[in-house]
Amino acid sequence: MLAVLHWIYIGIVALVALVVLAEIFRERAWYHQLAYALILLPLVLRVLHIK
Amino acid sequence: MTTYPKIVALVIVLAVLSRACLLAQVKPRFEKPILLTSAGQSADVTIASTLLKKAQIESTVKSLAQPADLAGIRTLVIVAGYSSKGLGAAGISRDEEMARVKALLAAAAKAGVRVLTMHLGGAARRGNQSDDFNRVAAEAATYLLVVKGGNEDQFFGDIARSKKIPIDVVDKISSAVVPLQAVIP
Amino acid sequence: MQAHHARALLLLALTAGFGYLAGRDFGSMHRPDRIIPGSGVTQQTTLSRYSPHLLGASGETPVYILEGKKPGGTLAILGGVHPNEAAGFLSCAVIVEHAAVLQGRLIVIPQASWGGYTCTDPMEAYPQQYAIPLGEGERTFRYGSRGMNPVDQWPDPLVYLHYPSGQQLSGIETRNLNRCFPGRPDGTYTERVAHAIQQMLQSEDVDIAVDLHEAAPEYPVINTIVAHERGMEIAASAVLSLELEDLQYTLERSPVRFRGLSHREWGDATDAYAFLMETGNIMQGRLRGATSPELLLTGVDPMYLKAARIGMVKIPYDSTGVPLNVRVGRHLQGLRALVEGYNALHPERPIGITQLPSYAECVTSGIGAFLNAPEADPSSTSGEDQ
Repeated sequence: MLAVLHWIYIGIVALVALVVLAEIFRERAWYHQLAYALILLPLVLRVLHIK
Repeated sequence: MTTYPKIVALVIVLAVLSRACLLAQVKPRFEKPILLTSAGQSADVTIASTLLKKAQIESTVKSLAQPADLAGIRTLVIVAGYSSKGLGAAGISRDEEMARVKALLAAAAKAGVRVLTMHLGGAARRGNQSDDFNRVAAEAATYLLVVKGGNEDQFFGDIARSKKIPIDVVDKISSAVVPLQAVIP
Repeated sequence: MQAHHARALLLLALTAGFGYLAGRDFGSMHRPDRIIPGSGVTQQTTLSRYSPHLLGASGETPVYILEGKKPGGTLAILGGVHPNEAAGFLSCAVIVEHAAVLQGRLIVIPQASWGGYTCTDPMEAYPQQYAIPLGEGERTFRYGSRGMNPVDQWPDPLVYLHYPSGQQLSGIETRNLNRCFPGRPDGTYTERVAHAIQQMLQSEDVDIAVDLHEAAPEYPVINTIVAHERGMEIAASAVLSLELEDLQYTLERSPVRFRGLSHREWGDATDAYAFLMETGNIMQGRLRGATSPELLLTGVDPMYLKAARIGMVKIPYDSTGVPLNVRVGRHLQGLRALVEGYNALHPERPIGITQLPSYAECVTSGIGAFLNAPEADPSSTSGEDQ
């Protein structure tokens, strides 16, 4: 059960990371793109179980 | 030397000695059986128990002693010092502990039980939280025995002076054995 | 290609670059610290020996056993239950690398919260490593996090329910090993580590168990021995004995209703006398200034000097700080006093330890004098500890 919950949360983070990735390409203002790139990094590190 | 100067010298010596005697503390004597308890639930009561054993003085230890426990007791030894962990271990609140201590000291006074108050925790058992308990226990004492570290600001010394309570201040907890043996023969 | 798409690709490339560097940095904390057992160590195992539920997991922390030739009592010492409390771990490291046992046994777990050493606490600016100077060269060790790495146990609940009492604490405490005892074999990662330690205490018939910690200097429970009620007599005797060495300790009773802590759960569920000792660590203080490895080693902080002047510090504090040598020395002297107290109560099952550095020796010589040089490690193949 704990493992299932863990992987559900990892899945949610992966989904959010994909949404953020899509927004980086959709967004036209450079400062918004930069913000999304900053947000993306910790999400990827969590999905990869690095941090 | 002629008689007159001898008489003057004797009178002066007697005057100095009697003043010294008046100024010296008259240490009370405490009788057994002894009940040992805490005011504030710090674990210093266990250290006091160990000290009494080292001094070969028998006592009954009850950290949460109630007035009824004074039956048959001649001396109440109360170890002052507050501990939130101690209160948690005892399962009582701060207010309940203060009420217990005050009731116990009132019962001791009514029953003619002499109170020996000890403060062993040094500076760690001083401060806002502890000093309420320290004051209540010290003011009811027939004799005070404190470790120097807890009296740097003369907290206990001032109480002793104002209430005319004999006090011994020792450098270390382990040094308390000798004064204990002196007042509890 | 449109300009914002090109910009997106550039930003992603930069993110990947920074991600690689950050990942490499975070990953470096997964490299275990080197402990070089001395001749007193008779056996080395891992915590999973006591609970197969830990096999292959990050909880497989090393366990060192020092056994004397004569039978006697067993002392278990844990360091690193909170990996950001360096004196506990280093005291255990010194014992493993320098001490020996004449009678009875020592079971030492220097880094109980193994997973907690693979990360640091967010927003604390803790260094990842610190170095202890030796006679020649130095040894480096990781400075970890108070709790287990969230990579190993995530998500945290909003409210942590302690097993089996149901006590409620803040959700982050679910990764605090010292709130998870006695643990359970099928629980969270932290509960499984706690369960294995509890199993070790029971299966090894441990007589006396000591958990070594540190705390912020403004914390009221500091420079203290916390004892389960069965161990109060031993602890009181230890406090008096330490006072004769001019080391001031307060004595605290383990709160009966505060569940999950080592001294409570070990004492309740096993026959061991259970104790916890605290020293003062400026690195954990809320009032500290700049955080650095030097602050960990020296404990000298101008903010704490100001705090001490206005009576906010619960330990003696002056311009000499609270060096790590002093803190490790206090723990080792405290252990010695607890063992003496135990031996006085149980002369039929004594514990005899030799080559245990005293407080004075730690302060005078430095703890580096009691750690082995890297060349002494037969498994060493690199020169990374210089």
